[in-house]
Amino acid sequence: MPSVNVHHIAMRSRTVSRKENAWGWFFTAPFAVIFLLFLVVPLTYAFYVSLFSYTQLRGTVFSGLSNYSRAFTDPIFIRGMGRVIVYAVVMVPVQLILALVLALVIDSIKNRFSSFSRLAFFLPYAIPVVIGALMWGFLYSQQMGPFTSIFGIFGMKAPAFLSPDGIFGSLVNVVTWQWTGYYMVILYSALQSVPQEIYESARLDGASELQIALKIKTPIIASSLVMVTVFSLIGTLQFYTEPMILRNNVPSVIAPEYTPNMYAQALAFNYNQLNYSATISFALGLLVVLFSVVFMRLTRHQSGLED
Amino acid sequence: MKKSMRIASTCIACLSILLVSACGGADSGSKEANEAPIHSDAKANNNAKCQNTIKKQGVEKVTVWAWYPAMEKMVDTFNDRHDDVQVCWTRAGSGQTQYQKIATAVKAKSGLADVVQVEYDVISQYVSGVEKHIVNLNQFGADRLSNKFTKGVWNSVSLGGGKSVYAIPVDQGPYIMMYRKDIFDKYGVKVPTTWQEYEQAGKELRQKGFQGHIGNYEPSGNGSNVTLIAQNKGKVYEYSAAQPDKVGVNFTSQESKAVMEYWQRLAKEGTVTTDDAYTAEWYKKIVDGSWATAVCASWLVGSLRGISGADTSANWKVAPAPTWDSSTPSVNFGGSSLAVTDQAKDTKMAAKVAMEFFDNPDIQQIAVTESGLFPTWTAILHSDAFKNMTDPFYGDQKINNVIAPVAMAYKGYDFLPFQPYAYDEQTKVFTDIVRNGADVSGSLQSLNTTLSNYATQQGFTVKQ
Repeated sequence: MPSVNVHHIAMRSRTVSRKENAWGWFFTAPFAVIFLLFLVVPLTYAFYVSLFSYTQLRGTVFSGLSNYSRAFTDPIFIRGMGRVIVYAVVMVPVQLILALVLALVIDSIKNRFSSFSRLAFFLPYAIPVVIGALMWGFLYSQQMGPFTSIFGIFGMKAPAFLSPDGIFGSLVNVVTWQWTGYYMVILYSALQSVPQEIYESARLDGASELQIALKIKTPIIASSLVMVTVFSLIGTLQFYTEPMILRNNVPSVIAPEYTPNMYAQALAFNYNQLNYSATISFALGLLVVLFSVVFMRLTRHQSGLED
Repeated sequence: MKKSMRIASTCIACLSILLVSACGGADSGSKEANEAPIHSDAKANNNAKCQNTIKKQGVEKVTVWAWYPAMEKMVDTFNDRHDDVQVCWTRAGSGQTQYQKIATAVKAKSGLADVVQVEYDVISQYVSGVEKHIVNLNQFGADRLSNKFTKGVWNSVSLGGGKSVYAIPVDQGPYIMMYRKDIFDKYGVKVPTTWQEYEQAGKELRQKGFQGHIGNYEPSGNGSNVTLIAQNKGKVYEYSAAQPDKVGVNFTSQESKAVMEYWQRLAKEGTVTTDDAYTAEWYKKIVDGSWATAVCASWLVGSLRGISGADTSANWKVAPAPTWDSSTPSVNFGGSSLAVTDQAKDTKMAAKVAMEFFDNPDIQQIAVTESGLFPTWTAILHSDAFKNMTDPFYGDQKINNVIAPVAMAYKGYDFLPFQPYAYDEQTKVFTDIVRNGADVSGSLQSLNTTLSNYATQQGFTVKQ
């Protein structure tokens, strides 16, 4: 008898789970359809396209993975990749540290000023990237920007923001300005979910506010820090909009293939090299995945993602 | 899992069918003839969306993409006078924006307008190899129109002056010099007529206390740099309809070197600046007195009005561009034409629109006065009304007396079938030459190699 009972229960739970499964599929269907239609299909198509090579005179022929060997030995692609890696090395820590410091400061001063500054720091993120970049393009302008006159008051010459030497810092500034507030809000909300009792006991043990911030709060939100870093890393490797917009002001300083994404765009839309452009996009995607995976593995302890 | 695999494989199957058929299409096209295909469906555009309002119902429509100013007025005028065809016009962005839309429509094999505005330097890329997307209008009698246009632009639309006609010219940009008479007068410096004098005058202005510069060399000027070299008889690019598989790249000639050495020297001396062209800043510096001259295409003449930050005391005049010697040819930079695409629903009617749209005194009048187009029509260029037009911006100077002869004397020159790539490479090398003092000979040699390699990689034969 008991065995029958067990069997019966098992049967029932299976039918229930099947029914639940059906509902589960029903609820994920809208996502799944969009995911397939706008991500999987285009990616598959792009990969398929990248297996062909195109020449203006002979058209498109199947060439297997030869485009990939071309991409990974293409000095323009490698230089662009190197450039975004340098950007990542500078920009990711700068944004992360700034966002963390701001989040910690705002978290420890809980008054009206803190909610105002939270909003103020977050505001740049609310501005569309293109508009932000256009605005900075104007601010950086020697002729029309305000810095020429501001520096003029002190009898100084405004730095050449858009010169070959200045462009790196200028772009870092635009991105930092735009994204730090966003990362700060993520870190700040992570801090909000930390139970206050931990701080109280730390205070009872005689920890200073600085010690609490560095030794308790920061390690506790480590998983959010890892997430923010991954966001920022991926964003930087995919660097596109800001240099693309500033290029309108200084086409000779920012080359059309300044970053790998810009290279892919130029190949597809200016040089009519759609197949090779798909290859570059895929190669970039591959490297981004690689970088993210390596980073996630290195930080699996901090992120709490270890199995 | 299995199901998703099945879906994925179905997708791939569909895509491969699409792609294979796409490739097949291109193949059969090139087998038939060396030309873009023609069609004759008069009703296909009945439901086309237009930016202009079409009043006449039940008349065949031809779709047009163009970015000329005052285009709507010209379209309305054209439609008023035609009962057999109505133009359905869209502004699909100007220049590169519109070309990107052409590229997308070409890939999609649908969605391209019947008639499109194209600049002279991009025509060859829609004619060569597997990219035959504009129709040879010779079969519709376009070659008979050649004497209505200046020689240079006809050379450009026929890709070398042969029998083929790939577009109908509309406007052009004769190369001239605009200068600030007030600045030259103030410092007592003679307005230069040759490049030697230009350098001298530039130095003199600086010595006598002029805070700005005589002018600007634009490494990113694209076509303007081809023009500057052409002015010294350097023929950097060669391509003709007669030999569609061959290209010529020649930056290593003595003529090209001389021009680049000249600008490198002027930049090094601080006689000229080397700002990027066509940016908001560049326009402002032209009008605010930073530069005493602007050697440029005539289309700049009309675009200086209304730029904020202009020097109100400016006294602008137009003069011929400085020359190298008495044999320096008249040159042109820019301008555009109307081409008929391989996706035209009714190719013959589209060709009629391309050929006749501007062939009307009223529309030409709007084009010249309201769009600010510099005409390619010899009848207008010869007319007294045009020659005697005055412009208060230029102190009522009859500027067309200076510009029209340049337009007439221009002989035309070629552009590569992958000109956007060539321009980008050009910019890098010219920037290096004028800003970083790079070795002129070596830099031009490497530019030559880069472009020749690209041409070879694209399947072209590079002329030696």
